[in-house]
Amino acid sequence: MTTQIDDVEILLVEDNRTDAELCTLALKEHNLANKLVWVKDGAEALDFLFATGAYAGRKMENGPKVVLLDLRLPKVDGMEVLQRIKADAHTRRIPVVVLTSSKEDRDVVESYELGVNSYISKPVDFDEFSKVVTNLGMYWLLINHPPIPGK
Amino acid sequence: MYARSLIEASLDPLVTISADGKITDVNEATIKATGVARDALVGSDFSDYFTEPDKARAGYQEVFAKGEVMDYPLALRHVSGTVRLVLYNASVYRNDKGEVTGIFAAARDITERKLAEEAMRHEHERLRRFIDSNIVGIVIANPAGDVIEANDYYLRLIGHTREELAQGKVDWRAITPPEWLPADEQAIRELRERGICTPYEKEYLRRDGIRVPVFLADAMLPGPEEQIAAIVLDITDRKRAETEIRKLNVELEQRVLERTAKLEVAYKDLEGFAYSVSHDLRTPLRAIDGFSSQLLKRYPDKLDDDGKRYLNIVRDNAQKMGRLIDDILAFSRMGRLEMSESDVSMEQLAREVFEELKPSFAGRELALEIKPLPACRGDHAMLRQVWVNLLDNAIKFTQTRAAARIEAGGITDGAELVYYVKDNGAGFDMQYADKLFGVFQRLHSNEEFEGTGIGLAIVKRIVTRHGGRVWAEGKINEGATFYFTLPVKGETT
Repeated sequence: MTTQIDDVEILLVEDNRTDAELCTLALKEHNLANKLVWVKDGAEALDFLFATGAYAGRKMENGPKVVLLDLRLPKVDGMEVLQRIKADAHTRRIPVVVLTSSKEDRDVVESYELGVNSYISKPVDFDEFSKVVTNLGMYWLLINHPPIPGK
Repeated sequence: MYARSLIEASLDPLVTISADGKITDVNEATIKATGVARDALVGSDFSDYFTEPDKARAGYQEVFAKGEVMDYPLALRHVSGTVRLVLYNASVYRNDKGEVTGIFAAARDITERKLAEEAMRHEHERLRRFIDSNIVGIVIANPAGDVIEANDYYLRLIGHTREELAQGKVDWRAITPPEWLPADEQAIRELRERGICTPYEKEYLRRDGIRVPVFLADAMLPGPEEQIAAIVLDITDRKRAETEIRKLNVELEQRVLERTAKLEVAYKDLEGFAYSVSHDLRTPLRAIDGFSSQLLKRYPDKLDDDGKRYLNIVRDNAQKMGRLIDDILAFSRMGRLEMSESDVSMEQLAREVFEELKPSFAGRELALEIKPLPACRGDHAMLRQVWVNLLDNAIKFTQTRAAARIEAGGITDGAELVYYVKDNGAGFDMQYADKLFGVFQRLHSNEEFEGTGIGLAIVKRIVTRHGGRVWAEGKINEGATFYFTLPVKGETT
């Protein structure tokens, strides 16, 4: 995936391999997964976003256009990733969509407190799941009009 | 001889009596004392005017024999019947020749004195009876410490004998533990100031070394020396009970704390469990359903009809389990959610919910009648869920009816608001009425009516949390009525 590193549309932060694959499958069905980077934990997500560690040298202004963020993650959990993104002037404009299994009120509330752009609970039914993921891919990549990076 | 003027001058009844006992002269005081006229008295028998004539007779005979008698007690009867106690002083008198010619007798009325003595004796006896009843300790002592008098209760309380008391060996200061002496000093100060003291508690050190808690009240006695009378009550039992109660209270508080802590742990566990279920159990199901779906989509040529059917069964069941997890979480959430109370228009709520449910029975002939529903106080979102579940249930179980009818109503019944939802649907066997509200309890197969069996359990949980009850009535194929109650609360209009 390093080949695509300078032109990323979707950063998928997901520790579960099958969930990540299902998500990618769903996006692929609508040609939305071409510029997708998948990271497996919060620490890697932060490295990618802030161009540190393994991703040092990456240009931050090259995306992603949207972050799909799971909440339960190894090392650094999703809430902290969200908090770091929204606390930093360089990243706070990147739309973050929490995409998680949890429907717990406290997760929803906390996410919005931290400035999440959208909160989506993953349905068990793949057809539903596919519809949801496609819709949000379409929306954030094609419909939404973000501010031009660096301005 | 005697001088009449002197007789008359006396306020005491005076008489003279002849040798044969006849009255020979009287003064006015005698007339007054007997209520008999002078003429009638003179010549009558002296002994006739007394309650004990024989004793009177013996009296004057003794005078004749001895020459005089002092303080001879008799009871003089007035004609009206009243009796006066008198003491007679009598002596003989002689004529010129020195011969005894009669008796001169003077009576002194001692009735008042006797009565006063009697009253005092009676008073004293009453007091004595009270003291000796030993229902409380009674003690007389001086401020220096000497116990002057005490009843048995007091002696028993301090463990001393009456002999020791008589020998002046009982000292209340000596048997008071030092830390209690200030309380006594305070009481003495108060006694000197006001004559009495505020009742107080202290302890005595009994002879056997046991401390006896007492309650006492003192009064200063009148007299040349300072003497204090006190009533003393043994409050050992009360103190023991107080200590016991205090101990029990501390234990109870401790137990409440422990129980609360345990509950908090259990609650946290449950919350953690729900959170974990919410997160972790759905993920594998999504994989099962997702990859089954991919198989069906990508490899239709490699699967025969059975293979496709099996995969669809896998998907159906994965999805069903997903719904079960959602339901159990919803049920758990209803128990954990904080309730926020407000006035709720149940009628409006029922209508809104029904409007929302309309798409679920599109194309069916279904009539809903909402009768006037009393307003209540409760958690708006939760009560909304009650209407959703009950109306949804009614819609579901009338789906086999050509013309479905659902009725919602309610009344105020004393301290309760009773609501119901009635339908003409499939009904149920009353034999299983108690199972209706259990978690995942179903009376119909999934083929007949879809569902996980959580709806009524949630209704029950919400209503119970509001302090109400739920029950149902029904008959197979003749419809069902679901009831729930809510308590009437002050603010409801």
